[in-house]
Amino acid sequence: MFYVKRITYYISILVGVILFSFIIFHAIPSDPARIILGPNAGEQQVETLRKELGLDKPLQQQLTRYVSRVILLDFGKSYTDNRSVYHEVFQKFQISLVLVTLTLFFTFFYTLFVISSSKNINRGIEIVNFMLVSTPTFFSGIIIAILTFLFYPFTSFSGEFQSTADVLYMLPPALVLALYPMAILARILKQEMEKLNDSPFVVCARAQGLSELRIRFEHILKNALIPLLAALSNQLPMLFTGAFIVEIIFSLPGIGSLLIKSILQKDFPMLECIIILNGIVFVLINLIFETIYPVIDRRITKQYAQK
Amino acid sequence: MHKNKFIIKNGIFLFVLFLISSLLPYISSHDPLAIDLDSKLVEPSQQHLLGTDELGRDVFSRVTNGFSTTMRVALLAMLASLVVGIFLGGIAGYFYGTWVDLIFNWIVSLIFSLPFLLIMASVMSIIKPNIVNAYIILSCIIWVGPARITRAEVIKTKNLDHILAARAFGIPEWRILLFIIMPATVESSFTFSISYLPEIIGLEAGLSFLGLGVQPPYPGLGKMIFDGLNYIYSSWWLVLFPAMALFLAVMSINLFMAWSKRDKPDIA
Repeated sequence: MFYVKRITYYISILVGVILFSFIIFHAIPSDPARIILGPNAGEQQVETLRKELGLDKPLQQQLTRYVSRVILLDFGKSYTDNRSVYHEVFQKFQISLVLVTLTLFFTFFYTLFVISSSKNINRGIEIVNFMLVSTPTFFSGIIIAILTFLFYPFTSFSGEFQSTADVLYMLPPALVLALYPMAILARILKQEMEKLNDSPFVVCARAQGLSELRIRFEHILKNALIPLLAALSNQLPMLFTGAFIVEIIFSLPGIGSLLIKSILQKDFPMLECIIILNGIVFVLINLIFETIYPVIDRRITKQYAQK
Repeated sequence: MHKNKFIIKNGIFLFVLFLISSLLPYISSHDPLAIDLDSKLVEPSQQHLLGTDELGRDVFSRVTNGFSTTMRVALLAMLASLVVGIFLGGIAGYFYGTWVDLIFNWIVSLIFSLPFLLIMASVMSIIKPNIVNAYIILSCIIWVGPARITRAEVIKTKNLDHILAARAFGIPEWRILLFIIMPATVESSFTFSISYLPEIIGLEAGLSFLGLGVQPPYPGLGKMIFDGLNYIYSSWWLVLFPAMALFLAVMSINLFMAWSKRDKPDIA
């Protein structure tokens, strides 16, 4: 019952996203036909293209046509260069996926480091986290880009993943992208660990003579995991399109830079596809995390049942 | 009285921030728009503190001007979103459990399901991009943050005894909501808004980075960074100083937040 409710809720959000993209690019009066052909085209040509795109029909007909096409994953062709939007976005999405995966690796290792670090450097970690949270991507990205250019051997990217060098090239941008989420996660983790440090079950484990590392990874982490995952599920969807600054600084052809290009060129089908893709990513990530929570902590299903 | 003291402290901080960013353009030594092709891409020196850009414009004046625009837009957007957020969130919280609340929740989750910058940039791709439109759209989107906080707060406080007492006195419901329930929630949403200020600054800079914020020739920090990226390896000062200005702004806000939270650790 719980899942039925959540899934209907998320489907309604997806419908909202599709409606939003429709309203923005169809219902608000703008003239795509004119944009495609440029200001010098004759009125006759524009009229023909308008008919071809179905822009002369009433709004309800356009909406039904739009929704039925979106369900079949047919997003039409790009206004600027006539390529299939779906394939283009899909290809760029793979690059973004690799980038986000590498970002998650960095985040993971930093979190592990924070858990296992000794108490003496607590203050240092706090300061590092504070600095990382305060640093805009502009700033960290530029510094790491300059350092990469000077000291890092892999400075070219072919656009597809053909060799390991292409993946290695993704490491510095992934690091830049990881800085903010990893600082946020480490901060939350530190707070949770401090809260749990004096709780009875930890004291008991300590009295049994378990090593500090084992207490942290086995007893404390299990209880601190839920807030950590909740924060991660907030950060993850932002990484896909929010990465555009990093992608432009390192000239990576991912979703973010595609988004920027489409905005500047007023390529509406591309924008529609990216917005809907983003909605799907958001919904999927939330569904996955909501499925994981009860597996980690049995008490959570009970709480939902009480509501 | 400690509640009021807290609000006053934050208010003073914001006012000082606003004052500094409004006064900054007056200390710049050059006209930020004056083009001087004889001295382009000059390194930082005595005459040009932070160097000049590819058209010979003084980077220091441009950074101070751009910073002032960014901060003023961010602060005004924050205040506008706070007012709208408290109002709408208060209404949603008051009608908790009814269809009003349902619709409110749906809209808020819808806005949260898309990255803010994506929504803003999509809207800006249709209407005319300039700083006023950027400000309006910014405020239209970020109200969801304070609204969510206010809603939760109102649900918690709307059936407390002093509100029942007000109801017993026969004070009309809309006055109770507007003058008794909503003011009590100002503190938490205000705190949230200030801690959210760095993100608003980032959004504004992001819009400007895409060329959808301040229009050239007027300087915007994001736009300066975007243009400077072409020269990043030869003229590092073009990118570094605008980025540093953003860094300092965000840093000072975060430091203030850490300091003001120090004696009130229970506020998230």
